[in-house]
Amino acid sequence: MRNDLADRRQSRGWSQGRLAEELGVSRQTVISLEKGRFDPSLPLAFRIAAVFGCRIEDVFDPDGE
Amino acid sequence: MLARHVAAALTGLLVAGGIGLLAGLFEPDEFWLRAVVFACCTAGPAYGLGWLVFLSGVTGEDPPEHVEDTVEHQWWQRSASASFLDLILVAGLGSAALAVSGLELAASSVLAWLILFAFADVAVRLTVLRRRAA
Repeated sequence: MRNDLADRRQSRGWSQGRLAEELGVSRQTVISLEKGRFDPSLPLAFRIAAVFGCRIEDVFDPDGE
Repeated sequence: MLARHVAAALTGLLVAGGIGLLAGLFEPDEFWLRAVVFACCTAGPAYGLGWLVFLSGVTGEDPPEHVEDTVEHQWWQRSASASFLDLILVAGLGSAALAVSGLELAASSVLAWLILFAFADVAVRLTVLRRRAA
């Protein structure tokens, strides 16, 4: 599933480690998410949306698979 | 920290010694031989138990708050479930081979090999998933 997580993170000047801390997951998880190799669970998707103050579908594009 | 290392080592010695004594009690004629061999063979895993109890919490990094949402957790689940199916496959094929050949093997040996196979299978699968993600 395609996403713009990396762009959103970089626009805030956050490192992958910082975003991982904010989401309560490992840095490897953020790396895999940004590469589109890992589809997040629904709770994690909601936390991602909450961290960036947007909706889940703003971050993730299911048609981009 | 030194006290924790000592506690881990003592735990390993006590658990391994206990297992050795227990094994010796089942064969009084060779009590010391069995006790020493079993104690030596289980010393490593027993120390691992001590390390887990006394050291793992202070030497490693704290786990993420939501471990269940991490990619590592998904790797582990995929590896473990696939390994379980592999284990059933190997056990089934092995049983068929033994039934056909009439070969008789000690149950303890077969179980030990199955455990080693499962460990190796999970380790290989985890490594492959990690490499793919790198």
